[in-house]
Amino acid sequence: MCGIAGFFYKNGHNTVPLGSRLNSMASVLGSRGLDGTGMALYGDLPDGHMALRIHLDSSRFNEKSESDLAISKIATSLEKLVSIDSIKYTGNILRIELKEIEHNNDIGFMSKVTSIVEQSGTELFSIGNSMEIIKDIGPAVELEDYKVADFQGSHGLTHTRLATESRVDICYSHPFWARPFPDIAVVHNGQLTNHNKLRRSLQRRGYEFSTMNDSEVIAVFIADQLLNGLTLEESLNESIEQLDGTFTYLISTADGIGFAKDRFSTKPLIVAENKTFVAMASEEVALNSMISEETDLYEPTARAVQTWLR
Amino acid sequence: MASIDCNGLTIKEINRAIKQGLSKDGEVTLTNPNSRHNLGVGLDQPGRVVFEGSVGYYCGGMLKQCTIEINGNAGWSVASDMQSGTVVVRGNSSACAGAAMRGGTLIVHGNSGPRTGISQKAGTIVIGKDVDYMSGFVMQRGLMVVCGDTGGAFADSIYEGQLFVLGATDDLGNDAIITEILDDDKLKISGLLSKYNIDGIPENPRFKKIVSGKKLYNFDKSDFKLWRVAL
Repeated sequence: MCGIAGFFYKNGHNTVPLGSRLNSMASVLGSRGLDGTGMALYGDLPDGHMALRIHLDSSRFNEKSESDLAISKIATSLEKLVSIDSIKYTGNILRIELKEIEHNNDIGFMSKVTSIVEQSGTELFSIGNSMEIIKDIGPAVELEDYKVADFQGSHGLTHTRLATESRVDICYSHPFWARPFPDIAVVHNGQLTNHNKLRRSLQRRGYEFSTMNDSEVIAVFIADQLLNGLTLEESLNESIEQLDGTFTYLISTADGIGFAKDRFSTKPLIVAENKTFVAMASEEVALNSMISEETDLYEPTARAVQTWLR
Repeated sequence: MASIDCNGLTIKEINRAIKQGLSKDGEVTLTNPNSRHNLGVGLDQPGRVVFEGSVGYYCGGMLKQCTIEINGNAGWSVASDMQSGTVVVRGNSSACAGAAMRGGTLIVHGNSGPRTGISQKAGTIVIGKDVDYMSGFVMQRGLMVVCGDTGGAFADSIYEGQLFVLGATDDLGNDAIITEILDDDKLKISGLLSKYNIDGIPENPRFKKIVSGKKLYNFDKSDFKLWRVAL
């Protein structure tokens, strides 16, 4: 079933933290799936900074000495390429903030950083000039350690997972990062039937995937369309033609947020919009949980696509 | 009149309170329904239930006898499998509104989602604005009135029943045909629209009548043209 939700502050900020909005919706959407919960959060990093979110599997790094060694290896290797501003390890997720990055959209550079990080047996959840992905198995409460509810930011996505198509594993929780593109993430409700074919086609062109999950394919597919010069809206429309199966998915980039619905309108989405923000969720009850302001509410139709960009 | 504040109550407690309120007062008002699911399901007694706000999935499912008014939106499958009675939604309804209805009346003043009235077996559905993809699919009997536009594959593979559309019918489903509207039909529609105060209807509205072409009754598997449209 899965629950998806997104939030976008039109002027980029607000006194109500972005994280609290997403956290409220994720808590309510737990009724649609408790196999995993995650968030893609877009914050305000200084110019030239990038944040990496890295997962250290507790079964592999169960001793502090093992995780310390892995972190120090990653840091040493990264420092040969870039400067590190800070390193913070909470729960199972390591956050490394890089600084003095000159090529913050260079895909070759991102691929290099990805392979350096993953050489140590860890999984890279995200790279972003503003985006950070935090996810876990279980309900929204599992994200409390990361203080997501206090996160101040401009926009973001959240997802609650009912595993249908692939296994229950933290790496298979959403959001999925469009590796190696910085700042692009997707949350998906539905099941694709042609994801293996699409993945193979993208792999032949050099893209790498961290899972066999269908939703990760959407993220890379859209990022590839954007790289080819399409706008986000055009990319979403193209996905409706190319993706087979059922889907309503939300996509976020550094500039904004959007959604696409399949041709059969199989999966739900309700959008709430006013002058200050746009919020969308699988169910109205999730929107109610965090909106006290007056909003216009509507349900997009089959094949609907919409974007909000800053 | 009984009044129930849904805040802090479980769905079971709310539904039990509705039944008790109907037995005692015949009329129940619920505040703060907060788009929660399964409200007012399985009611089988006369009376009136008013939700002051939006409801979630399956509201009014399997309804018999009573009238439910929703002063907000309704989620998936409002009034699904309704047997008799009336459900009025002042806002929009989502997917599968009135699915498999066997009787009664469903009124939605706003838009309705995909598969509205899927497998309708009897009763009346009136949608004040648009319906989304594959509404009216496999209708077997009954009446559906759409005052706005229809989505893709409208009235696909219907057996019997009648559908009336005021707006666009650009993409009718398999075996759905437009036929001449009769004076009796017009009277029936105008009666419904005025009884339930459906807004935005022009004077002398020109509804189109859609019925089954009945070509799918006897499917000829050797006719390859039929296979092409059926799949």
